[in-house]
Amino acid sequence: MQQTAQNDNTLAPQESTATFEGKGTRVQQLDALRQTIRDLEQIPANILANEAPSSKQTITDNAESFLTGYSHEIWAARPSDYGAAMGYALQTLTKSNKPTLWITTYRMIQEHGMPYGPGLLAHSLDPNKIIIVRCKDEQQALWAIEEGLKSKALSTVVGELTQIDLTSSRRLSLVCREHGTCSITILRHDNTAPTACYTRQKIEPIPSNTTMFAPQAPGAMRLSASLIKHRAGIRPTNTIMEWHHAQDHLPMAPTLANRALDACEPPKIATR
Amino acid sequence: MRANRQKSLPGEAFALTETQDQTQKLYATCLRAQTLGITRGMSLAEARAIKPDIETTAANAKADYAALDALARWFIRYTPLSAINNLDGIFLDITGCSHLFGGELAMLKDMTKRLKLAGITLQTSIAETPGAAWAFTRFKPGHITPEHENSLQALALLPIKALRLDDASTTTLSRLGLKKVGDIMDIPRHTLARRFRDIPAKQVTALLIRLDQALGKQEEPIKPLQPLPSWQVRQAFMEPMVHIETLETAVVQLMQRLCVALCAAEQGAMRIQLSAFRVDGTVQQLMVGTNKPSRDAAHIMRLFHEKLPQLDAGFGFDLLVLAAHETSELRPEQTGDQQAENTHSIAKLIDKISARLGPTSVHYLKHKSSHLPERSQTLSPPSTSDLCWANFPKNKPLRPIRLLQRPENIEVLAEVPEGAPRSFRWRRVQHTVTKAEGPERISNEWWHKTGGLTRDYYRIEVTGGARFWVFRHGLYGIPRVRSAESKQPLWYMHGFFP
Repeated sequence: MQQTAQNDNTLAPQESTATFEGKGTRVQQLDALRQTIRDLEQIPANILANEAPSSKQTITDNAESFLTGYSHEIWAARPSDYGAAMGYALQTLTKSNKPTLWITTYRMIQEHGMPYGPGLLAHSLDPNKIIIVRCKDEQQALWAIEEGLKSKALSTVVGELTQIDLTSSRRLSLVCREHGTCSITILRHDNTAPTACYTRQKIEPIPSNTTMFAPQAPGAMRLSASLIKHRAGIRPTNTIMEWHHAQDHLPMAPTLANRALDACEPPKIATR
Repeated sequence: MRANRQKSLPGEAFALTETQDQTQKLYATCLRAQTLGITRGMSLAEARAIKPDIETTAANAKADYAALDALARWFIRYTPLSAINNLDGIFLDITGCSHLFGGELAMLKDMTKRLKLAGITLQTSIAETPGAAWAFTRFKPGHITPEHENSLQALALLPIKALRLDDASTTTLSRLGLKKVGDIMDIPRHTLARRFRDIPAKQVTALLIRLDQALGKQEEPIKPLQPLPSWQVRQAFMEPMVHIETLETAVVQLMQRLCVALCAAEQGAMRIQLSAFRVDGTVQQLMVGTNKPSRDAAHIMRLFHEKLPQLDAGFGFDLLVLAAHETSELRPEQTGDQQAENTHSIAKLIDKISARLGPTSVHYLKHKSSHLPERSQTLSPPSTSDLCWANFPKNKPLRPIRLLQRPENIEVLAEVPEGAPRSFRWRRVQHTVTKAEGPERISNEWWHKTGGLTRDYYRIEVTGGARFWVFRHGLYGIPRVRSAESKQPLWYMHGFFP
């Protein structure tokens, strides 16, 4: 199957000759030219075919990364957990150069505000890469998430919902699997129903470390991520993570931050 | 062409009335009333004097206009240039269209037949200028000026009223014995103005202009209901189509024809409109838009697929017209380039989402140069090329990752002068502040007249670890330095940190 031929300029030659006599040769010439350039650049015709993950993909990474080809859930149990939950979702978005589809509802915007570009910049996420979709209700949002998951040109599809039911989440995970894309759903509800997601993390903010030069000021983002569900059978864990402005953005926090120097271990890198 | 929108009850005199200058005037009358000498424009009292038991109803001018508008749109099946004229007529520019219907006479017959079936009576005529057509339609219906001839002779026999003059001018002219158009045509123009010294100059000018327009000496463009599409394809059907499924098949074929035409001209369409003409004389229109010029039939079809169920087939459609508005140049491109493919597929995804959820649903975040937090980010449509985030100053203190659209009032329970509050209540939950940093003072921009007060922003952390961005609205007063901006400054929640 030649997926690369689905460019919007392409027209099958027989259609053109049917209506515009004599123009058909031009379309054929264009096709021949394209083929020549393709040969010169040595682009294989099935360029997109090997991008989809095989179903036997091995899990190489730890629980806290968002595996491509699966749907993931981040759960904020209290309204005040929502900021931290979004912060946790950001860690994966910073890694890709492709844009992110950010689907939200008017209700979520009302309750928790819009994603704010200057703040995203400060957390190393380029706001240019975020496409915001505002939906009237969650039904529309689910449809938009599903459409987004069908596109390979996106790095991640982030959906903000209050709750998701078993059927909808099964749909999303099937679409993810089929198209090799990654969905992150941020849920904001006091309790969640069982769903068909691949992983679910419960995120809570925790008091930050004291910063070096301003002891009274809030420190960097610090949160506790509890893995409460993993389809591959990884046991529930609880990880405390802290944002660091250096290269690797969200490492695991040093176990005891304010100990004497000799007892300190180098921080364990959890992501990447 | 004159649409006769009178509601005639058989045998009874009937009229629609409207209030004009505090008197009841007749807005329209039925044929029976017309034979009695009751005409539109007459006052109701006069009409009652002629026929005391005349039946009247208040006219609904708005609905009348809407019906005329719908009818004018229906005429687009004959020509794309259709315009409403003065609430009681429709102008059609049929230049180059009549041969599609088998000549001018056949075209008129076809119109009359179809509208008669829909219960609309009409008077038609064809002439070389709008002015002449107007005159013939009203005073010599059915007249067709033959090609390569002018309608001077026929026009000369019509009454002076046929020149679209107001009542005052008509009365004056007829008082002077000028009753036919031909009477004026013969008078040399420069003497005409001299002869009517008593008549205000404006009226004379209007008379001359109308005369010139009717004779074609002065151009009179008609203003079509909708601009001419750049490209359009059409398909008429022998049997009306009732099912949406069959309609979709037809639209696919039309779309392919349109895209082939666009391809030949190296153009891409931004807005595509489907007009479906129903047998009963109504038109339904669907419009889809793309963010980038496109001539990909499959893609545009997917967008239409969302909207086709909105069509109400009723007794069936007998004509489909697919038009491309807003086209722009689209050169053939090399396919197979990974990056280009990605851009294309994102544009397609955005088109698809906005076709279903509405054009205002998809946005990018755009930076705007402003100190105020809520003004420094706006939503911009997907077609925006530069989002300006490179211009965002790097030296600003930390900003939240989410910002409330409207800052929410918080109830401060323990206030510290010139500092963050110790504890506050927001959305019925009490929070105790453990850490705070600030203030970051952001004053209103002086070039905006509708000024707010100065804001002092604090980055705070509460017990439990949640981090917020709150501000105090208004400065405290300092004795002998400045006065307070507000007596009791209010506090607001504005954003959330992770």
